[in-house]
Amino acid sequence: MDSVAAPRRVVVSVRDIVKRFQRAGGSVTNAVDNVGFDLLAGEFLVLLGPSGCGKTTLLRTIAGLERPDGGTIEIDGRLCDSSENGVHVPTERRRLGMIFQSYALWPHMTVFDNVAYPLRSQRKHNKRDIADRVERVLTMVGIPELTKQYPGQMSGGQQQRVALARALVAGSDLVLFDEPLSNVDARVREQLRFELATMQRDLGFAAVYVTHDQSEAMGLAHRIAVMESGKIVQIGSPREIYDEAASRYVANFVGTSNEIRGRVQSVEPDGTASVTTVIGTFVGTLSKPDIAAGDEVILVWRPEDGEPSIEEPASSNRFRAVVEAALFLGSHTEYSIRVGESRFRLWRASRRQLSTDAEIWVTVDAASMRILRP
Amino acid sequence: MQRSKGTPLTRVAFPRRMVPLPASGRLGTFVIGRRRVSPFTAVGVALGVLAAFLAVYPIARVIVGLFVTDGRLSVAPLRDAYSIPDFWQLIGNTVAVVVASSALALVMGSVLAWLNERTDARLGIVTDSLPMIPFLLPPIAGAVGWVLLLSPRAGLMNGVIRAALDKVGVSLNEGPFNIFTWYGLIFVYLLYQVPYVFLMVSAGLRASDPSLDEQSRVCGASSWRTLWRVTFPATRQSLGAAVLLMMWQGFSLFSVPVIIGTGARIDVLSVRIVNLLSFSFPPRTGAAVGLSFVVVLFVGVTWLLQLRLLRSGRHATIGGKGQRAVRLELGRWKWPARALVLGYGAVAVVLPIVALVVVALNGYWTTNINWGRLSFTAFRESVFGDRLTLTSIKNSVSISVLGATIGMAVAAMVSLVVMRRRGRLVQAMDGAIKLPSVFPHLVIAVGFILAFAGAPFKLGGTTVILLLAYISIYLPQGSVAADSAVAQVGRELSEASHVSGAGGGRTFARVFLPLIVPGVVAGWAFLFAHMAGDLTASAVLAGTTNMVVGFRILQVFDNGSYAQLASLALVLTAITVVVVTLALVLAQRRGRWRQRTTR
Ligand SMILES: Nc1ncnc2c1ncn2[C@@H]1O[C@H](COP(=O)(O)OP(=O)(O)OP(=O)(O)O)[C@@H](O)[C@H]1O
Ligand SMILES: [Mg+2]
Repeated sequence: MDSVAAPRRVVVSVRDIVKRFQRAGGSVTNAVDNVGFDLLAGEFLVLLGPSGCGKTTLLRTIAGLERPDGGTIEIDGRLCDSSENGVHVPTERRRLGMIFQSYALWPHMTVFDNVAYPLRSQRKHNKRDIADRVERVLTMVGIPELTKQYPGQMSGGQQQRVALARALVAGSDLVLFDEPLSNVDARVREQLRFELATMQRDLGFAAVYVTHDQSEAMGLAHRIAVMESGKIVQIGSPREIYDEAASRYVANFVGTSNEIRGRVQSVEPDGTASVTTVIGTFVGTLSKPDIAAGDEVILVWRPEDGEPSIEEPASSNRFRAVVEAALFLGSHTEYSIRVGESRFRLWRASRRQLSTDAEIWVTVDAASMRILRP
Repeated sequence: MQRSKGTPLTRVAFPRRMVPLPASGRLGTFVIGRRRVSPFTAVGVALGVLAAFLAVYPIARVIVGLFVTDGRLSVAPLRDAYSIPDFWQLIGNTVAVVVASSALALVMGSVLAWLNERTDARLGIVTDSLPMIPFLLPPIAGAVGWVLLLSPRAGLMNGVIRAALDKVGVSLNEGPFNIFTWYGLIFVYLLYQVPYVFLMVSAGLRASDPSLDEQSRVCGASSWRTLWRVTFPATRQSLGAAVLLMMWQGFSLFSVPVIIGTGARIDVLSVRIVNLLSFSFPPRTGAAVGLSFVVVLFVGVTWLLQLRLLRSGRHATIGGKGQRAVRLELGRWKWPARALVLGYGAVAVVLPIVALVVVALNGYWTTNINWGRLSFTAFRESVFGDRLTLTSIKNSVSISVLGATIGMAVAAMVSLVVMRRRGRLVQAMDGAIKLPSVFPHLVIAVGFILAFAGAPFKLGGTTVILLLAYISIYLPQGSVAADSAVAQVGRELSEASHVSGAGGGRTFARVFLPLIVPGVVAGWAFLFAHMAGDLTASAVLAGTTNMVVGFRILQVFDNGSYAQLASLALVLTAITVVVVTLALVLAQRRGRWRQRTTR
């Protein structure tokens, strides 16, 4: 996470937001269930979670497109939603930018008219001013030549850029993104992701970005909020989320992980514990302080944190395994290894291949071995 | 850095008086129920409620009128209707004509639709425009045209046939055909029923999965077997809808039976109801209401049957879009098939128009047309030289323009409101507006007499009552057109506008309106054509004080010349075609971004 210097302004403050929907059958779901966070000026927050966990609903609630059933939302210090007091500021008065998953470009307007729309809605800019600003923002997003085109005549990537220009043109402090990159192909997606990150750091707007793609989240976020069925289960920097996953759900959703079941033998005062498993005893880092000796736990470690060696290593956190298969993936090789009944994955960047059927030792650092509740 | 499950960092309490006032529209807010509503929505709801009243009240009056006479409960209207001497004869005639023509139309329309959708016999625009026929050539014009063609003595076509027969030594004084017969009547009904079947079945074929057909053929079934065992059964919901449409149209169709049935001395319900109301003195409203009930009964029964069909037809597969069926190659049957399509076009459109033109230009109706002497003089005299006719055209055009405009504006606003909020009130309002679509036009017209002609509204004999009745009768179709136009505009497009800082009004003007214009204009053209060509409601509600084309046509039919009748029918057709074409071209041009976007 970029170092957060001194106190920064809070742009959005979300408190205890609840949003319920009535299903067609009549049952009620909590699409957003008691969510709260603060978003600082210039901060890039990614909402990450599987399909249907309520990301879009939360984003739409912040935008004012849905009215929450409970909680409060403040934007720029102004109370925008408070179900208790019946406050609901309509979307058009919230002064924010938003990019929809479908881009929602108006097909009957040219690129220029689409992008000029937020400025014209403000009714405080003259013609020249509007033309200048639109041109500037279109140049910034890299499509200065497309002003007279209609959205239907453009590629998905270009439409994406127009939507971005429209969200940025009014200079809002807050821009909301709903899976904006899910409709373009992989190569364009990477390019756009990079540009978007640069632009956000340059312009300094605060962003809430919805995605279910964890690599996108990692690449863009200052902070990631992982959601599960309407709740935020963990919020923190990408590194924290990846290295210090607070639960199995987060560990599995963000990145790939190996799991070993076991029982805690003893807990040390420095936050580590030793755990007995079917493949030996390991020392790992506790994810929660309340885990005690005798608890059933799961040891979780990342495939890249396993260190293979042919000779028996000196360290204690190790086990012996057989290489079952090797899968060359370009940047690294993925090995499938087996210990008794358990199978793990191992990633190595090294060009030197471990041969299949080889017997190896694998060492995992105590710091990389997370002890989680099952 | 780790915050568990979004626990608030600080709790802030807002004292009530510090809470900023909620505001959702620049002009302030309205409260409907417990919800705050923007002015735009408020206007939409208000208009919708008004339209709903216009739709429901007259119908309610008919139903009440059935059982309450002079403030007392009685079944007098039903008794009055039943005591009409030829009551059963009337019902028998009507059922016979409608059922016979519908059955034939079902076969013909399905075949035409199938040829157009699934075989290589389709003829592009010619076949595609088939369903537009009753829309552009009003039934009254078609009926008059066929009288001019096939009347036993003076019928132009009969004349031509007799001349041809004369050459081979057979001489006839009249005939060989006579339009004023059962088969003549059924024939003209048929012409106007076919497009409904064509429309519904085409839609059904387009929506149903062509791979079902292909599967059947893979299984070794012949083309015919496939057609009868798979293709048509898969569209049976569409067939059901077509039958309902035909019953609904057929039972209240007035223009065709008034022209042909009268000459053939075949009385049907619709003509009798109008006669009881408009051409009896004093008007026998009770009996007319009673007969209307019979019409509703028939349509209702069809509707119930249709519901059952829908329920049992759940299994019909609607496949994904964009599946293109391989068109069946008809081989040597291709041109006979095309001849069938073209033949229908000739019989339904070309021949009657030719007859109308010839008679109108000739000045009088005879089989000995002097082709060199055709001129516009007679035409001009009978249209522009006739004060009543001119007035009727002026009234019709202005009422229709006004009615179609008001109708589509209301329909569009209501559709928008319905799309945005799905409250009970809004849903009820939407349902009420669409209610008249299940009642025959004639019944609604009768309802308007009961509801608005007398005190306290006293609108009888005014153009206002006509305007209101037209709106009520045709709004359901306008509303359906608006619904589909609005549904095409995704929710996110308007939300993006709100996010961009635009309120309800601006969003409507800048985003919704331009996007729905093509659909709304098409709906407008539809309403205009039906209002201008309306005969049913006009026959009941119009008179010498509020003359419209439909009523003038009836007057001329009663005591004018056939040339005058032909001229008037032609003028009506011309106005409809010109206005509708203009409107559609305009819509096309406004929606030009659509064409550019097709790659
Ligand atoms: N208008 C609605 N009416 C009823 N239920 C809704 C509505 N909108 C969302 N839901 C429900 O709320 C839940 C959360 O939906 P949401 O669209 O926020 O998910 P999401 O996390 O954005 O998923 P995805 O990644 O697939 O877009 C889902 O269970 C969904 O079915
Ligand atoms: Mg979503």
